[in-house]
Amino acid sequence: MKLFPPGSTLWLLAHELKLAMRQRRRGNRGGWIFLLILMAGAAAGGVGIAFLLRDKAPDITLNPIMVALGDLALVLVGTLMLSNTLGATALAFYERGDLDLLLSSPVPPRRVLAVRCFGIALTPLLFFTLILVPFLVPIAVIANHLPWLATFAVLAALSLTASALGLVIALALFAIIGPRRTRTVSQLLAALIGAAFFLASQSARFAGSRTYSRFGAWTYVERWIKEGRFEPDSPASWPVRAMMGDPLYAGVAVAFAVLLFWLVTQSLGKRFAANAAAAAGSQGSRRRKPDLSKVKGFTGNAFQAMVTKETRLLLRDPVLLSQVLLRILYLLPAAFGLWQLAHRGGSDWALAPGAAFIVFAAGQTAGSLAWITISAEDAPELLMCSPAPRGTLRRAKLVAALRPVFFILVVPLVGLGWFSPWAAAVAAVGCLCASVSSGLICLWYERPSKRTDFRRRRTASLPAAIGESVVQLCWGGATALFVAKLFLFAPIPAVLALVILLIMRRPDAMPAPVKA
Amino acid sequence: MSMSEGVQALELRGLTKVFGKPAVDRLDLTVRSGELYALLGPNGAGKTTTLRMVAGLLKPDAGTIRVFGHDALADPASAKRLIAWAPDEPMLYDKLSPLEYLEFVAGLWGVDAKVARGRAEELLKWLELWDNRNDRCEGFSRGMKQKAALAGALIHDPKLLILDEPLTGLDASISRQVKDLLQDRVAKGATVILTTHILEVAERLADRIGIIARGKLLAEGTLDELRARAGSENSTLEDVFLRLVDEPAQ
Repeated sequence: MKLFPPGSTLWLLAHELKLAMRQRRRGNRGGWIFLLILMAGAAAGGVGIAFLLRDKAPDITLNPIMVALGDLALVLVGTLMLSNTLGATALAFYERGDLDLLLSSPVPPRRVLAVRCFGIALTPLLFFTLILVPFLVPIAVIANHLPWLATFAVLAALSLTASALGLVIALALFAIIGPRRTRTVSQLLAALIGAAFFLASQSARFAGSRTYSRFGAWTYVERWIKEGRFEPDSPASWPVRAMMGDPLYAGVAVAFAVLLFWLVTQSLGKRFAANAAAAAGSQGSRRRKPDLSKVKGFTGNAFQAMVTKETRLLLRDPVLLSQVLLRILYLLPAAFGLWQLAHRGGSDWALAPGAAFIVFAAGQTAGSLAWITISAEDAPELLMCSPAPRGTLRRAKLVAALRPVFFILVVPLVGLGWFSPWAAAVAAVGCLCASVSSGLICLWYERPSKRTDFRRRRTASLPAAIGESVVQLCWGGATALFVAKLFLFAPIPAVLALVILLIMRRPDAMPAPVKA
Repeated sequence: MSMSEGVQALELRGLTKVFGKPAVDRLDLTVRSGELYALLGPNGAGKTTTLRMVAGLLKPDAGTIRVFGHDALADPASAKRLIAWAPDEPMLYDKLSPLEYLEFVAGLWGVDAKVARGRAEELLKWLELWDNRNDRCEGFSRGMKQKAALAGALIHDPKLLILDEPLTGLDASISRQVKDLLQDRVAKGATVILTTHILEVAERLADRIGIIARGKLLAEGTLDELRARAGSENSTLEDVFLRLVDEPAQ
């Protein structure tokens, strides 16, 4: 810190990085283990590819498939980065931390903004760099493709661009819909952008493509390759050329990103400060609901009171809304594919994957909601000092989490029932099993957290996260096999799910029976 | 002031909690039914730890806690039914309105719906939150949040009200409201224990004052008794407090 003059950009950046490092050090072990597994996988892949490429000529020539794959990878990483930076930028207005201190100091707001945005850009950059280093470095070193290391420069350019765009979108939302709605809408938008690649990849199904492909968007990509849009001399090849170390293209990419970032942060600094102040002010001006002259809703029952409270909080949580909306969006392509298959005279066999997918989605949604109601309790001390039995309260939280899952899944289940009542009945039972399993795992592995930690919930307990996913897959598998009427094999994954649940069970954390 | 004979509101015997070093060290303390008791002490004296153990939020390492004769460690539910705990940071849900919050707290304590409804209206009007009853707490000032939390603490009509720094950060008007409310509760027979750093509040409100430091009770009694113990009959509570707190260290 003393290396730089106090109040300078670098001084502020060093301060920001120091705080970020300390935050990371306090991070959970599960997250680090997950990252290490990813890095190990990437390293294995990287070393394998490096040995495959070692005998090839060092100057690999571009071809349309390489261009298409490179562009798709960049679009995927870019959308994920934009999703991350948009969410983080919008939240920066509201989760103030030291923002008031910084903005009340003589440091110019544009400098504060630049440093904060740089910090926001660093988060996804660091993640993708950590994954790419073990993959790319062996290829560059063992297979002697050192220029390919320019991919990291392209990645940095991409994260700076994503951060600048995230800021522009957040400020535009602020100007158009106001501070209160921006928080919710930006989270929804961030989630949608994060899912954009998946949704786009499934768009072939919506378009009713006759050349049906399991990889969805690849149908289009194949067509575009045939049409010559990914030729090595086309503009589509520029990003790939930059990644492969062409100094001109790599230089232009980095220069463009730095210039965009600088322009955006320098020109929007004052607007950012004004919006941050408006965000703080908006907290006190929530629109009042229609006046209810009578006091109502009292139940005198701890279980009912808890279910009502949790339901209200779930419905008023923008992050949750975006997550639930995403689950529904994820279901749409599957549902459409299901409809197509069934419409073509599909048998129970054809319906089996769709039914399994619905069950898996039910488990995922239930797990998310249960984490919010059980682990992300805002006032745990209030519950601890109340005379209501802990088991009653936890059970009520579970019910509050599972109830919406069934409302969400009614439509796909009814759709399934249109083609095969048997498949719908089996899927409904599967949804129940998967949802209750996810809820129970949340109860057994409860870790008190803040709602804002929602996205990091899976890294809080790695065994619980892995166990939950495996159990959901088992229920999905059992559902598919039952729908396909393979009665001999169907019980196997169901029994496996039960065995895993028994192993994961923590008797001391079991909810007590509800008191009347 | 109503005082029930015999049963004490709170009895702590040999209460101990160790966080590396003793935070509460074999503490004996008795609070009579129907009194307003102020627990004073410097930062880190063990006041909040003591009260958190009474509220059932911390398990003591040794000792006993009796709330109106109920063993709070053996039968916590019975003790909790009689207690309300209001910490300095309000235990609220930002996305709920005060009315919804009271509805929830009343449910936790199993207060009959009809009774709770009436009390909620009465409390919100008393604390001047009635006009904001349908607004979400996230938009409230600190004082309004404190009042909403206080209403939550009172919705089940507790016999023992424990408040940790209830007046911190409140303006003069809200502070007066809270003080009036506490005195009203005591007049109606409830027992109030509060911690505060504002010695003037303890001086004016408390029937008895306990001074705690390094987890031990240094002295307790009425203001006159504490003055006599400190050997200066015309001193302020601040003089007495500083003299007593400094004593063991000398």
